[in-house]
Amino acid sequence: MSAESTSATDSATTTEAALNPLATASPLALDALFSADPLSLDDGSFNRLILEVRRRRDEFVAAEAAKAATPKAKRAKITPQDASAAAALDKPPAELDLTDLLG
Amino acid sequence: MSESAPSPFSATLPTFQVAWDSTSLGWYKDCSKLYYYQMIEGWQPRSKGIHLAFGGWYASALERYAHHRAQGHDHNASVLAVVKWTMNETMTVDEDGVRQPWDSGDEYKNRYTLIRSIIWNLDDYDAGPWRTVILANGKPAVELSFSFEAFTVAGEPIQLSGHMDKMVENIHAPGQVWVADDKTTKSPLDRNYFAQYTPHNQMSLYTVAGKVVSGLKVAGVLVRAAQIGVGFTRFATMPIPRPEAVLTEWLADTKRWIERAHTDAVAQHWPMNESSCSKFGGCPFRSVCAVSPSHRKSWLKEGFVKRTWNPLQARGL
Repeated sequence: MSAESTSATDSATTTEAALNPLATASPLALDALFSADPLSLDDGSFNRLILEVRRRRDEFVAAEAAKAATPKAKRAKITPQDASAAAALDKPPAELDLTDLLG
Repeated sequence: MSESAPSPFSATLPTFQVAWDSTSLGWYKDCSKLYYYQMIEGWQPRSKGIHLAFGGWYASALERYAHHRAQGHDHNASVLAVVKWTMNETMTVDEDGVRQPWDSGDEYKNRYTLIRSIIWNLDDYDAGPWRTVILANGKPAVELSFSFEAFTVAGEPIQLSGHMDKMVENIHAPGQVWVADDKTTKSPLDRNYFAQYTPHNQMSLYTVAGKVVSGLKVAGVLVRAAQIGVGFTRFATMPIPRPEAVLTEWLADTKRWIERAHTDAVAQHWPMNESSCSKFGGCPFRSVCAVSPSHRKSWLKEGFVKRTWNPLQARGL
């Protein structure tokens, strides 16, 4: 998830919520939307569903970012033993230059 | 399956397949008996299965999004259209003819996590560096059904066929083209997950096909994987490259596999590969192969339905 997309969605959600309190669905409302026959829903209902799903995404992204900031979190590094990395370089192991991969 | 697609089998040896896709080739490589049941006799498990249903709707929704964008609709309008389509498509009709939302009974792959994964994926993709390639004819490279002659076996031209959702390039590295393919999994999107795609039948075929279809320099397949959790969907995008010499080897190997299929068809004998029975959660035909050959037909009729698979069936909206 890029920072750009998160902030853009945040901004869109906040603006719409400020203008129309019904724009963001509560969890209960989301259940109702999923229980309803979609043929009975209008575009406004679908848009509320989409906004609520996006709000949950933003919550998840924020929680992930907080988790990643902890000292315990370590990023897995690619090594020349990875099959896709080997294919990308397409060189014998002796000629591998790790900077090609990790740079 | 439409009736209009030509048969993928030889006119002179009707159990010899002459048009192959990665699915049927994968069946044959796993076990020629499995291949015989599914491809030649056309038996499929009665229940489509949660994972197949979920994956099918997910892929169709993303394909529809690409189609809407290619028609000039903006991101939000395209997401709305795709969500409406998926919500409708995931309604089932019960015995009394009443429409009910699909209930998978699975906490990971269900109607809500499907819609969530589609929306999160499309938002994330829209903000990322990958853009659909525009072909020389000015059209976006989406919904590309392909079929081309690769070689001959026993004097018969062999077609390699399939369907690519789209071809993309990175805005930071224009000119390097990738065939895009979406996957869903419950597994973590780590090194082990992506390792399964090298070597990999589908990835090699799609790279070869991408080069043939577009005439562009296709580097490999861009796998966009979605890890479906109960409360989240996490995405990772990984280029799966294929060097030219590896593709040449894959094509030569594929010819040998299809020569074996021809040998089986001539002998009318498709041997079991017992070492594949436990793969991927267990072969669906395990119970059939477990009984005497004389009882197998009735087991097939009990637990399976006829649903023919045709690699020459073009897809598209």
